Amino acid sequence: MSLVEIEDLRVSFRQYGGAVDAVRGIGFTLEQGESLGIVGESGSGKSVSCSALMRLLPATAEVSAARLRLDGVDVTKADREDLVRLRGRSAAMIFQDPMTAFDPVFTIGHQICETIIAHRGTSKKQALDEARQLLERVEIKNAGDVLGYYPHQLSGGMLQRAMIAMALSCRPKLLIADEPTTALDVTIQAQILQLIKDIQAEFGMALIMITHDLGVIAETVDRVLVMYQGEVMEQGPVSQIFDAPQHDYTKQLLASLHAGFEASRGEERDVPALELRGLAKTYRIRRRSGLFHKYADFQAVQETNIVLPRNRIVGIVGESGSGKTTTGLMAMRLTEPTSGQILLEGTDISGLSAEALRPFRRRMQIVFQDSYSALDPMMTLVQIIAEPLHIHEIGTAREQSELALDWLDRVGLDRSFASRYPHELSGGQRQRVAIARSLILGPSVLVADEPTSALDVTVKAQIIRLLKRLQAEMGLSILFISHDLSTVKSLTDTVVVMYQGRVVEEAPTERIFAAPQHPYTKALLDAIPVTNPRDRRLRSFLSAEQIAAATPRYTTKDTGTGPHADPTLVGIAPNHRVEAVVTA
Amino acid sequence: MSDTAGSIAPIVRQRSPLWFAWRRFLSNKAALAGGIILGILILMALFAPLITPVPPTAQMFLTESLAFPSAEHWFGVDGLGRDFYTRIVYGARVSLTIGFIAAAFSVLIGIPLGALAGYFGGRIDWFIMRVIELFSVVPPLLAAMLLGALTRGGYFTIVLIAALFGWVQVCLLVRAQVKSFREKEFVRAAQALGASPWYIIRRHLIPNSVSPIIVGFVLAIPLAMMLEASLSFLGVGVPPPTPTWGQMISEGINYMFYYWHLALFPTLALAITVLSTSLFGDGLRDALDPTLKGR
Repeated sequence: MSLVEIEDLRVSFRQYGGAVDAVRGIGFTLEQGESLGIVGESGSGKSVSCSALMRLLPATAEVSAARLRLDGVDVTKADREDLVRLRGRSAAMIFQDPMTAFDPVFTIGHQICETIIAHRGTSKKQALDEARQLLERVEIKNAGDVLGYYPHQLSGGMLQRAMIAMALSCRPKLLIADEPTTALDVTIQAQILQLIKDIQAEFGMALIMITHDLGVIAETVDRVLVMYQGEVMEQGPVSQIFDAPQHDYTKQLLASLHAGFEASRGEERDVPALELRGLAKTYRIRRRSGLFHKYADFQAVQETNIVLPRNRIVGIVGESGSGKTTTGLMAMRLTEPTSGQILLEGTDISGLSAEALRPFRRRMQIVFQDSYSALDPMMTLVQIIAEPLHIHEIGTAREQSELALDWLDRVGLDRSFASRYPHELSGGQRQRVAIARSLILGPSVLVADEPTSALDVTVKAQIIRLLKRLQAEMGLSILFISHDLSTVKSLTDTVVVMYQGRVVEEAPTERIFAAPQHPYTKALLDAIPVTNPRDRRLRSFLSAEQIAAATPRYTTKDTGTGPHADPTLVGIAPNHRVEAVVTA
Repeated sequence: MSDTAGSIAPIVRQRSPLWFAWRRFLSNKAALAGGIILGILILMALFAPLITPVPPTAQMFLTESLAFPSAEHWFGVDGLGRDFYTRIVYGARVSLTIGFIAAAFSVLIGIPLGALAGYFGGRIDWFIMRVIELFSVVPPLLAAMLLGALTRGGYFTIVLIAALFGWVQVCLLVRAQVKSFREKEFVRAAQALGASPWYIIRRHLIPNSVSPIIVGFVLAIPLAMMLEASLSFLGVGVPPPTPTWGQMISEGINYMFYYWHLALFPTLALAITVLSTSLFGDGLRDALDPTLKGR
């Protein structure tokens, strides 16, 4: 008997004026110890089907199925006791956002112990002991301490590990991972995926991996189910899906994996569009010591020099906390730099007052990561897009909305969207609106702060193509901030890699991919998920100390500069700078 | 794959946020009842001369003083020979106008101060918060009595006092809302466009605070009406012979053990008004919370 048997599962949600069909008759089976990937964009019904399997859907959902069995139990008829056994012992789930999956007012240890005690009725001491072992198993080094930590004291990656430990605590036969790495940095994603693979093999669990990213699928599973609009498009062994995709949608997904280099058109002129000279940001941190407060300095960004030539796209890449967003915000004068200069087309704007800055604001704009909070929920799309014109008092109200309508067209949205509100749009559509708003004044510099990291793969590719097209049309210079090297591959001309608040490598995009020099750049490249299941490999991850120890060394002959004992940025080829130690 | 994501979007009939708010409001039966009763009360106050048999201050029934309710005098006759039903209906005029005017003033003072404190923070916030604390530690009734005694009461004094103590609530609500919205990225985006703080407050932050503002407004109404009733009850409110509920309760208490109707009807009128306003306000707040969309 199979572990999971689903046949003709249908789920619909009641709403005003009818019902929305989320899942329309899907079916699959899963054997003990097998791993299955479910891939599809948001809204394709992949999470809903797995929630239906666990009976976790809200009361507005109507579920019907010819067969819906988990571990030999008919889920549709299960009573309260069966459900307790199913959730936890038969199947456990890990979620996308580990920050919200833990209760913020209890310690990690308490929450894991609670699960163990509830399902197995062991003593508190035994449970704590086992919780510690589990945390050690998910490669948390100071497991004893972490037991006493609260969720906010841990990073996203650590929390996701703790979440996995909690899921393992009842020895489930099936682990459902619902986009477990979408909220994480690429390097952390690679580590978590490897961990999930390892424990699946060790505990002999079956695995359902839900994701929108084919790279994650290629890394982890044996069998794939491709879903689109609540229906199964295609299913088969992972190699077949990647080598011989049958369905158009699968082909589309695969195409988004294979992006090539593409240089920006338009001539490069002498004066760069934007130049950051020795820009640094130091935060003052107040710490309590006894009765008094102690102040310490935290260097979010150390002196950085970045040049954004005209008509070019420069990518800033680094993990969260590397200072890339702060750099972007400082360039826009949204965060005041501690020191350094910001040159916009040759003019230093770092010391200008808000009033004097206004004319320069028209020439530089920003797009944010979270498209939901970037649009005012009380305004219609036309009002949002026309807002820059309104602020700078350009044209009459009629001309303003005419131009806004044109921009709806230009970013690929229908004109009928004009009077809609942001909450009625999908993430990709909202990001298009945000792009239209930032470009309506015709700026020459655009700072894009992770505009695609909250989006599905196919939508991400669309937004990148849109940016690329607009760049060519308008002669834009774009500073593109991202945590993922694979995202910037097809978009940027130059890549700047940031690590712990400083630039560690800077080179033309093609060269960064072909000949990375700094260990951190190499680690970032290594973490990119494979594009074909045949290329799966065991990865080794570097710690911060290992990265510091592996700092490249050059002789004065290579660089043409004097020797440096401390790591400094040195030029090793045209346009290629890397942080290295230079010996005589 | 083309760049036209818009064209594949499902065609859904367009619903404005207000439509959803209206639906949510209708589904809240208590709030709906409160709203209807409040509406009736307002109409009664507006058309008082049309629905009452005699003027409110005319002592036309001196021979029937203190009569119990009857078919002729629905709520009886008071000690000075005036039709009590007429006086209750006219009393609604005073209570409701004081309630609404005081609430309007509370909102007018509360919004700008709350927005300033929430947006700029720092010293301005510190100062405004201290002022708010000053108003919260002084019992409003005590301060009102003092002020009322000094200025000899009267209609406008009561409105003034009610506004003076009503704005604190609105200010705190607006401040909290503005504080949480000013960190949102659409505010950042407006800053990046060169918008001035005033523009951001006016165009983004206040519209987004509309639901706490309405709540503050509706909650200020019963507060002001209670204040008026308390002051009139204590004899420093609206001077007689203008009929007000507080005054009538105060007089009615003297006769309570023999002529129950003189205390009961004005108390009932006040209680029904305050209750229906509170229910209406509660429902309005829930209805305007967009996170409740769909249900």
